[in-house]
Amino acid sequence: MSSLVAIREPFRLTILLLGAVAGALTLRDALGMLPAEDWFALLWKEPVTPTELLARFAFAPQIAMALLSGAALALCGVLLQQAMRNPLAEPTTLGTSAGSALALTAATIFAPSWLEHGRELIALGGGALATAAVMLIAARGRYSASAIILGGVVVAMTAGAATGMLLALFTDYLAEIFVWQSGSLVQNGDSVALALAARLAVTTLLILVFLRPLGLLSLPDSSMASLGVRPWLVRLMTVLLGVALAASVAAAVGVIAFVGLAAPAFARLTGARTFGRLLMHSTLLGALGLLLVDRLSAALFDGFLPIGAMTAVIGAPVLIMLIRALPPDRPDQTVGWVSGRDASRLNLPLLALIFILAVGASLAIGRSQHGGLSVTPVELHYLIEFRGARVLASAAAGALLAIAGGILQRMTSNPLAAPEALGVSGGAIMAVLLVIVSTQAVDPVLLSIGAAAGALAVSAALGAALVRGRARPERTLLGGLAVTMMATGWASVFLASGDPRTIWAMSWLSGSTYRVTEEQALFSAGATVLALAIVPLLRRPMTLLPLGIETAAGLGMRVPRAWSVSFLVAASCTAVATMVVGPLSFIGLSAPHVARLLGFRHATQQLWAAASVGATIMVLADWLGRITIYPWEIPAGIIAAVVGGLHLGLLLCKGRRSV
Amino acid sequence: MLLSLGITPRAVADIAGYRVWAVSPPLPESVLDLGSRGEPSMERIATIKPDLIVTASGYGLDANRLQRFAPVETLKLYEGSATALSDTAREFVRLAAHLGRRPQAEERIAKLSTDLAAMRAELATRKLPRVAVVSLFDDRHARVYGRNGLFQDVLDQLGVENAWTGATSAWGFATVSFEKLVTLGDCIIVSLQPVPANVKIRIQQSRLWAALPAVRRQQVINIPAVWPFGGIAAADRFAGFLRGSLLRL
Repeated sequence: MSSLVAIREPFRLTILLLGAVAGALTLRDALGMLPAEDWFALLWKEPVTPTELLARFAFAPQIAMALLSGAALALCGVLLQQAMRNPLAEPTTLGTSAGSALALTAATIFAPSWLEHGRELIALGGGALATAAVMLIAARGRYSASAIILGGVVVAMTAGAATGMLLALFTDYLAEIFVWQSGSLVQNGDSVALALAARLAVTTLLILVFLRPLGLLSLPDSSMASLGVRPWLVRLMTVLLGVALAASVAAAVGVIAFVGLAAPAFARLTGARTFGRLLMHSTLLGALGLLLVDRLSAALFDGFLPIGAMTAVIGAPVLIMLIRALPPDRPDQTVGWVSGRDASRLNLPLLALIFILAVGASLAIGRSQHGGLSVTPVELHYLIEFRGARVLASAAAGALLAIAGGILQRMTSNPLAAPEALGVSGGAIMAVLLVIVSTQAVDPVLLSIGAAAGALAVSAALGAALVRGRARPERTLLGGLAVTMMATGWASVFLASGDPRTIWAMSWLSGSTYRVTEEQALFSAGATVLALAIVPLLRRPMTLLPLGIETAAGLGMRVPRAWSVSFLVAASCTAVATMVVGPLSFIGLSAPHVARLLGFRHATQQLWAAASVGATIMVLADWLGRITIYPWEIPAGIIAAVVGGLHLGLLLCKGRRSV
Repeated sequence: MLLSLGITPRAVADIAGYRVWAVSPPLPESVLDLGSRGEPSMERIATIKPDLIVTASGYGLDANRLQRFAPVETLKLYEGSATALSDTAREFVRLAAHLGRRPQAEERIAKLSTDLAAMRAELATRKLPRVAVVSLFDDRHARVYGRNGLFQDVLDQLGVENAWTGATSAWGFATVSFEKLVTLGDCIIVSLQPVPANVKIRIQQSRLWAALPAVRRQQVINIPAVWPFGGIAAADRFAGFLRGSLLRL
């Protein structure tokens, strides 16, 4: 009988199981601290002994915080996904977390006294500013789903890179930010939990009041309008609500990724069909799920692992397994995120000329001993050695990532597709971290092998899924995103551990070209030439796939085979670039967009133009990184991300859109 | 290490960081900055044409690439051997021998041994509680030093018991929440400076911090910056600060 219920109501079974395990673990930990009667006594009497103090000011607030944060993040995820009609939407994809992180980091460095008065306000301010920037970008697209999410990713990436730049410059002072970035539910009083509870209550009230228009968001815009609701207004409001929630959580406990993505996914999977159900189920799943993760972390790792990393590390594999079972989703493919301009004022030879000028400047101009700029300050034979390999590798990595990103965006018609979303960079990060923690030193050869192995392992898994013909590009991207999140989780753990090798890890993660050798540079340059030559061969799938699967198949395209080939090329490009200069992925997102917005619309042209743009950005980034704060360096990847992000944001703001 | 041998390096990496976190022995103004410790500027190294390049393992520097400018000495420190002090002494002597200053190094190490022995005798007259050495970097977490680290070895030499016996990284520390410090029970807390001003303020508002036995009994010792991954000079500096504070208790 009970199994029948379970089949019809998988949600009840899930929540029952989740509640039972999380509850039992919580109870075990609680009773391990104090007997039950002492817990009741704490309700009215002030704690005295150390254990009582721990129970009252650490344990109880932490449990409350786990439940509250889980609920808030799940709610936030539902709101954002509803607003954007995209299961990939998550608090972090809107740039809120990145904005908060940037604000906190800047405050820690430049105005530490502000932090004492309220870092919550600072985080909220940063999150709100980032969101305002997203809205500014999205305004051109009348706040359509993809305009918002594209703006979100651009802002998140720019703010994230700016934070990275500050962290790279002030490493020793920011252990606090590391812990904040990997999320920690640890509490030392109950004021933070109470504040979050109040915010959650207000949001819930607002959601209940506006439940009907919120639910209508899943309809096409025209149907919404005919029901007397202004779609852009409701969407804007929903996003703002979600952002407020995300900022509150981020300010209170740090960045806890994945809950906003996973809880709604689980809720849909376990049978939540209506919007009201989805809200309720996700909230419950999020709250209990985060409590379970928190207690597991306490039981298994003695609380050492930061919670944000735990959620990513535990949740990502679960999500990957669940992806196949997700109900079919229809990503919003009709909205024009492509520039309407066709005729290009810039043509390919001009782009190539700009690239050559950039290479020339980067090779010849450096800092002199006295601080000024000078042409070839070092002896000529060192020139090729110091700068040649780095310039060549930067150019190659930029071009390869741009090609990979361009291919991915075309085959999925998804403006968010990028090597990072493919999971290949994630695979490389994880393999490299594994090599680092299992050895004491940092061995460049081992690390390169590790990075390549990790990248190729993920590509192979992707390829296998494609050959079986079961993974559609949207699912593969979701899976890739999960892999990347898991990798970021592990990276956060490593950075938060305070190991002195974080200096090295950060420089690699941020895409430093410092350690590139001549062999690596030549190898990646060869790969780039090969990739550029392959691009014209992909013209047909690259032209047809953006029209949608049905259309492409109708025109005689063998879609699964086209996917396999395209993925293989994109993954190989990413793997080579990652192996050489670390997991730079922003170029893969921004360069194809820049090429598109410049007016390159035909497949081959666009990919070649993207490669040229990507290579130019990376070469300039590497050059700026070497000369601005000489003898210190700013990793090229960070500069590329800041510059590329700002540029892309600007283009998106100004670009005439063809909606 | 070079400074301890009476040699002023031409350039070192991260001078600003050194002056905040290591402090002593002081770096003369003439020393040039090489940039970050993980990515020292190759161009600057090439232009100053050094006679010798000294690096330490663990920063991911490729000795082969530095080799073309000058001979490279890589100091093998913190490789998980749990003998940080003897490792650093061994590498110190090796470096000194390379520079023809072995007697100075051995003298310096012998002086540290006698100093530590004298301090140990001095401290033995007191009944000392256990000691937890921490760096506070936010109001919820601390870095606590233990096995594998330089401070553990110095504490052992001084006959002072480390309150933190839990797991630590290969570099000799663990990042823990304040709860873990509460469970340590009775002990003195040695807090390495500098603690950021805003963190100091928030720690003072923390109910848990206030509940620590050491805090309630006002047995929190603030000692000036000592580089926890340093060498003989850092060990000496740490021992000196610790002795002074413990005797004043």
